[in-house]
Amino acid sequence: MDDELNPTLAGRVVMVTGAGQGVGADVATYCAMVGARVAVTARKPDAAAAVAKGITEAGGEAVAIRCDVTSREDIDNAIAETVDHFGALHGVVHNAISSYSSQPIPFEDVTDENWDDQVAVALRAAFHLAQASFVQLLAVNGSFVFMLSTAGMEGSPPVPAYSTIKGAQRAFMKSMAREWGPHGIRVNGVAPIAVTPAIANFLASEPIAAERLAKRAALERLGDGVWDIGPPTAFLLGPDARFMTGQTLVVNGGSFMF
Amino acid sequence: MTRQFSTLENQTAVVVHGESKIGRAIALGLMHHGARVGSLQTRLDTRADYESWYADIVESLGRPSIVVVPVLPGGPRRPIVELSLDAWTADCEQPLRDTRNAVQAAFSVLARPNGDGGCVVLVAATAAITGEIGLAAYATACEGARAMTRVVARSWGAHGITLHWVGAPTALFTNEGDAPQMAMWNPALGRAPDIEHDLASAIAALASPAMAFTTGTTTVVDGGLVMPT
Repeated sequence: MDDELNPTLAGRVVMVTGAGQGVGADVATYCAMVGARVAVTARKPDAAAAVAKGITEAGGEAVAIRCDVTSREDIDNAIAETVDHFGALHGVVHNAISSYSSQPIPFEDVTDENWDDQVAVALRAAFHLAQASFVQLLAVNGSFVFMLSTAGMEGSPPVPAYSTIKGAQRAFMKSMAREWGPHGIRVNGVAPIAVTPAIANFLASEPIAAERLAKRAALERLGDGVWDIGPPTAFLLGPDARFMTGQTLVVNGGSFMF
Repeated sequence: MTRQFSTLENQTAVVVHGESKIGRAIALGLMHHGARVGSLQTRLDTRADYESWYADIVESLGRPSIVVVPVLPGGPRRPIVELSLDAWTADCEQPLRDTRNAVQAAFSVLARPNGDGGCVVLVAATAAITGEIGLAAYATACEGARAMTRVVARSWGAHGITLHWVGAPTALFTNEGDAPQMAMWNPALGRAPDIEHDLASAIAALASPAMAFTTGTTTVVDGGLVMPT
């Protein structure tokens, strides 16, 4: 925990999917900096362990858990392990995305294999995570946050399947918010633009897009995962956002303005 | 048949899910607008199936310039926590995949040089925009279709193809007589839409030359109930 920061998530347990790298790792790190005990889950156990180690070495609390979100069994186990380790689950951040998501491909050429993997990681996993975490979140008036994308709102032509599926996720978030509001559980989304390995990979193949992306933002830069995306995500997870549900925070430096 | 308008004179339209109430009414409505209409009566499982069906339409009715794809739910309302994986698949993954197959296959008949451009209209429930209790899976498919129109519109514009999303009251798709009312207000125009007239007319307008320079849009045809920002 960072003494300079307001400990908005003190005493809370947050589980992040796809936290082995990129925005997931950054958000997990920031949540720990503001007091959360964090379950760092990732398909690759080494990646999860490295992020958790970084958090604990900085004075935070974290546990690394292997979780392939396309497996319901893995999701159930990850939630059980989180609760065993920390005693509760207050927040879930579904951040995991398919490795296909950043690979540019024309829509007419998207294959079943590509599509199915993206659907499994972004959508079916959202459904499984919701079902698997409900009882824990219900017990503590918890909060669920989806990492969405402005690609789903305005369309990013190089990644049409990703754009479609991230857009779809937003309606799941809204419906979940409506269903779970009466239970005291809030459900929101963050649509970030930050420099991540996936974005770097995409931008390397589209140099014009890289230049446009930075210039397009009113703040004239891409975001930093920890310091730009972490705080709004922690806000939605924490008590200050107690009257917010079903909403999407667009955190992109004023690029696309929704 | 009494033609009300002739905005689609000499054009061929294909309507997917013509076996459904909404698909059938849209097909009839487009015929009233002067289009030759191929209405799909069976469920197709793959993109290749759609390409084959479109090819049959080219032979029988001429090359289509309008493709209408309703996004249909698989089952009744159920809360997320009570939804089986099969029900999730039927309500979300299957309709979204079916929509993708129908749209991908449309490229083969609409894009130049095979085709001469055209218009793809995805028709789905406004639950996509509002979110809805008991319909999380289906709303997800509908919003996925909306996102699909925007991203594909950006790419296929260069091929002379426009895409639009038309939203209609969720109850039209779920066939619920007493659907829960999500909106705070009554429809501004005081009634629910008539599919054959109101919905098909909006689709015909979007597909008409008057709207040739418009693409990637959301048009809600519900008499002024859901008004998206």
